[in-house]
Amino acid sequence: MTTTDDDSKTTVEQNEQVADGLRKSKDMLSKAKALVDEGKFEEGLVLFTSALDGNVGYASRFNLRIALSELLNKNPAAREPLSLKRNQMETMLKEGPLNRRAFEEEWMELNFALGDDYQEIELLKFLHENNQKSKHQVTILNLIKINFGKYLRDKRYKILEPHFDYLGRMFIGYQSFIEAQKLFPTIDRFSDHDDHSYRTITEEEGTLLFELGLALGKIEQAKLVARKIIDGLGSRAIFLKLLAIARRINQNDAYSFILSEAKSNLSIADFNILQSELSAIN
Amino acid sequence: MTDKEEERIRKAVQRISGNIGDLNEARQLVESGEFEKALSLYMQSLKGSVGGLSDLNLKACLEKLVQEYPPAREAFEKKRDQHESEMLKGRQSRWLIEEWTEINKALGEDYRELEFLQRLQQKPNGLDDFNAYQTIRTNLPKYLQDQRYDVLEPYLNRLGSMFLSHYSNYEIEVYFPQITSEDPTSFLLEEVLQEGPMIYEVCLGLQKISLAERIAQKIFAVSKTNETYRSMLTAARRAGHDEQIKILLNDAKKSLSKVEFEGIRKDFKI
Repeated sequence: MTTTDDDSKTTVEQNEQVADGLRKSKDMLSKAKALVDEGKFEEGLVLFTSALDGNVGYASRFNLRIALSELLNKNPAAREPLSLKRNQMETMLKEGPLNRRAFEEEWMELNFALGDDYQEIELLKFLHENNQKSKHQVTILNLIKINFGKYLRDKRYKILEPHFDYLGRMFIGYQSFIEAQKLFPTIDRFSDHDDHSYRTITEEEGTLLFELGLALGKIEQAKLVARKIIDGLGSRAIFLKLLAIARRINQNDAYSFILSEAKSNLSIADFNILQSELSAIN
Repeated sequence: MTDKEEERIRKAVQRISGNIGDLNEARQLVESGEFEKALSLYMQSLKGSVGGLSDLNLKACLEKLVQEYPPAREAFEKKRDQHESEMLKGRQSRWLIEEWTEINKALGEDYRELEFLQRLQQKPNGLDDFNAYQTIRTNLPKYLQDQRYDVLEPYLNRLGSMFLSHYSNYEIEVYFPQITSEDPTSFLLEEVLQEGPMIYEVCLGLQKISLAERIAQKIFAVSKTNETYRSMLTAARRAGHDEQIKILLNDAKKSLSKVEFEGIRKDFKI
């Protein structure tokens, strides 16, 4: 594609505007945090609400959720204006198309600080009911993943049921991509950093998905997820984690399956230790 | 869509329809023995916009023409060279590549793709992954028949990763299906069972035994039928791996009926 000088100038100007907006928002948030620390809650609140305009997101070095939670702890009156700000953002998200990740992340941080961890599920339900699912599907599901652990701790399995197949497809697709890169690499070398991310994702997301599958009675899917985890990690610790989940959910079939996998994959010594560890957690 | 875009699409459709019409006519001319006219029409209409997957049976017609009318060989060689020079200039249309493959097959030059692919990939904008894979994949049965595992070594990773990707698509559709009007699982399984034994054979032929075993493990996780064991045994035998044949037979004995197993022993003279 050819670009003219004018096009390039426009792109450069746009980038500068974005960078400028980001700088201003970060400055405002820093000032807002300082005001809260000094006990000037109302002034802090005003700055916070004007700075949250989709420029910062949760990935910034500024720990937004903690700063907002502190403000709410010290000044409960901030709840109403922050809820209002969250609702305004949500209206914009519903109206879409608004795919600015940072914007959605700020909305998520507000939800977290307000203790409304189920808000994204509600938004997803709204988008689904209004045939707007595709607008934010991927982003919102990523946000769900962030709160996945909490939903499971709260045993809110049913709320995740409509998203189970999507989460499963993503997990199996990722596992296959990594397996292909390990066995038949077609892109750059699989680095130690990549391996670390892979192990973290497989253990964290995989075990959550395994638990969700068992809790929803989707045993074969849960077993497939477990097989992928075992193929990738296969340590005694991971077997113990999977067995503890199966026991907690009362899924004897899955429990026996994992135990038999452990027997064929671990050394006799390791398998004996695993059995002692299991007795200890009974 | 803008008026300009609509016009461009309309012209492209017109051009392709015109080409298909000419190629159909050329086929009829070959069938009726009017070889000179047929050749002239083929030379005009093979422009890299129709491909080999149409119902034109291009390879068979060109092959017949080359056999029955010797001047056609030189003309098709020239046409093939033109297609190659287009690709060297960076044109990577699927239709062009398919036409080029069909001409090579008709000329009996099944290895030309591999040699050309190596030349092309030395260029900065070499063939993209998908087209490279498709080109090799089309001729894979022939390379295996000739036991030319050596020529496939540079493409092993591409073939292996594509197989794993197809395998994963099947697994995903079985366990986490998307709601669609047609169930794709039987098509995806067929793809896995057709492609899997070939990749297993390439790995064995290149002495990559642990990779071959990983592929075998996947294939048998989804199918343990008489037909699957036969495909895998054919692959192991052609690659000359007695150890793998023993492993496959042991497994077949456990999984198949006595009649099926004896049938395999008899047919494979084991």
